[in-house]
Amino acid sequence: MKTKRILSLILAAIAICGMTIPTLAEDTIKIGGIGVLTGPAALYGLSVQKGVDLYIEQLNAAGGVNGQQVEVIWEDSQGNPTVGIQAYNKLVENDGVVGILGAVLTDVTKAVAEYANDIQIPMITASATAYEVTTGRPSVFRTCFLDPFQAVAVARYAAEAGIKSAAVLYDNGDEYSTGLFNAFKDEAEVLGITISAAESAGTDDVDFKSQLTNIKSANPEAIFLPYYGAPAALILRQASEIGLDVQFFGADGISNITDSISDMKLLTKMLYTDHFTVDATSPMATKFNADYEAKYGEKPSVSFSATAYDAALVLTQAMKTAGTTEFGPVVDAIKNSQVEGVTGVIRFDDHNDPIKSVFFITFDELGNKVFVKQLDP
Amino acid sequence: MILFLNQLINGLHVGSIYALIALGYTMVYGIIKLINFAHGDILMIGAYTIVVTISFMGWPIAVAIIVSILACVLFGVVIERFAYKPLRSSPKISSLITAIGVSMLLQNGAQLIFSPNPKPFPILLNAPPLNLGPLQISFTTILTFAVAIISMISLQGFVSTFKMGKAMRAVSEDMDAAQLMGINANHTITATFAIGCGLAGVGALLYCMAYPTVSPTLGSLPGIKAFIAAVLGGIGIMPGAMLGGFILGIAESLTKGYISSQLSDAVVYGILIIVLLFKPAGLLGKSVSEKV
Repeated sequence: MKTKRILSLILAAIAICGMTIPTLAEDTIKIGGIGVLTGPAALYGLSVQKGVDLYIEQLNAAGGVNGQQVEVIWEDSQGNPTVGIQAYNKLVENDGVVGILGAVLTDVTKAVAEYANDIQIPMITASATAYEVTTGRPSVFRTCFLDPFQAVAVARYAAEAGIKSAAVLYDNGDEYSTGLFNAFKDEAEVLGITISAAESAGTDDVDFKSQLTNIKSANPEAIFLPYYGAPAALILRQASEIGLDVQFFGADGISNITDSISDMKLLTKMLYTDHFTVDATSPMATKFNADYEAKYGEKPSVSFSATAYDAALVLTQAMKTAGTTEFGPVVDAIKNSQVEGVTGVIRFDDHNDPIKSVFFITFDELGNKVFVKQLDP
Repeated sequence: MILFLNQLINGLHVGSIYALIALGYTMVYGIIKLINFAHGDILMIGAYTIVVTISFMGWPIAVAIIVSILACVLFGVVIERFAYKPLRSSPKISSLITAIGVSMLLQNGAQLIFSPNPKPFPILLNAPPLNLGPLQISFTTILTFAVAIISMISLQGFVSTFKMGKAMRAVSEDMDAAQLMGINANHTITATFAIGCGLAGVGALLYCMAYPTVSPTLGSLPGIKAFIAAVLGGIGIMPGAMLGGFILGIAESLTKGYISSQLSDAVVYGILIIVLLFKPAGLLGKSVSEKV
């Protein structure tokens, strides 16, 4: 008899909870965050997460969107497209999110974007720089610039610096790397820079000395390394070991290199393109740097925390403008947005890409980033 | 020609590292016929020990190196005692599966403690490359090559002259007979693991000097390559491990330099298949015909 009473109490409790949960859910707007939060590329995902969380915290403190609080649910893609799709399905089907921020790496983002496009859910990536990510996917946007754009910018910088011959070492198993390589090669040919050697390596390779030896014998004035920080650190080290002492160029993947290198002096030979610099002086950027440091106790180490902040800003602003979280009106609002963000004014072109500037960064002997030059679109 | 010599030097560098790790594989296999798949992960433990002692605790380099080698020895002995010894009389396949299990345990354990993010390996020496006319040889390469050769020669000397070395050979030839002659097989096997894992510690040092990032899966690739080197040269035979390592390193380097980086593994495995087709016991192995 007693057990029966307890049982009925529990059932009643469940019934009450069941009734209250839907009303609670209506009070928050749920946004799904997908990013690589573990593994070698985790720093990118974590930076994106920090940028988004910082903005959402400020937004909620200021009253949220249309009177509702915003909640971001994060899922780890492990840098793997299959896991990324599983994360997407979980977010959309179980959590009922109304927008996606991410994914972080290019190939994961492409895979997730295909699904997001099917139901036209608004999706903004802060870091996928390959051209095709937004092609033919009207609901997918980004707040970072593109690989072709950065590669072209690097080639132009090299040409202006009077470089006549350049070599490339790239990862033949990674779309980011091959995309940058192709765009760089095309632009370099237009600008009259000879590609004196084009060497490639596999994604898991740690030994690049054979390729670097070939590059050295071709005697280039500069080397373009479309790599992420960890392998780039190994390449710089091995290049110095075989006595290859030239200027290196890289793209935004280099921005986390200081975490993987112990000999900071090698970095003075590296110049790369970035989406943002902590030396930026606009009021939004200054405020972002200060708020970020206050919340996380460190300066943003990768510029994707800035582009991620902007991605969250653009998405929630569009929800405010549309006055709803229905997919169609929000996508239209993003398309027409003109928002002052941390990385500059953000508006989108026909290809859903932001029209914005690129920053050239190098390092001093202690590994601190040094702002060199800004190139406007 | 200069390019070819440079590629050869690159190959010798990688090959020396493979050879050094292969020595440990081969010693353990020689004595208990166990392919110790956790050998590469012992390498990873050595690498993390150096990162922790130098980068976090600021110990002097020499002390850190000794501590890291001792850590490898300790792990090797403990693994042998708890994972392999209880299975000594069970079928070979059980020990093999246990070895894979130990490898996973070490990798995931390291992932838990150190996170999967790679850590930079501290700079231990920053000597300028040596110029020999148009040839440039980095100091790390010379050091690695020398250490590998010295290790092999002293090991070879150890097993042929010292009492423990002779005991190792006896146990490897016939464990039961050796025990009947009064040799403590368990002690001998423990000593073999200790030396093999100590070599992995030295290998870790040289590997990370060449490729200065440390991650939990650091050991799997050199582990597999060293295993191939050991099989190629004839598993269980020390000069064979050395020879296999050098062949592997040079083949990789020349393929990357002259053909394509995508083909380097294909060429390495191709060489292995061809050698095993014609000499199933490896290059230096003697095929023993069993009487039925």
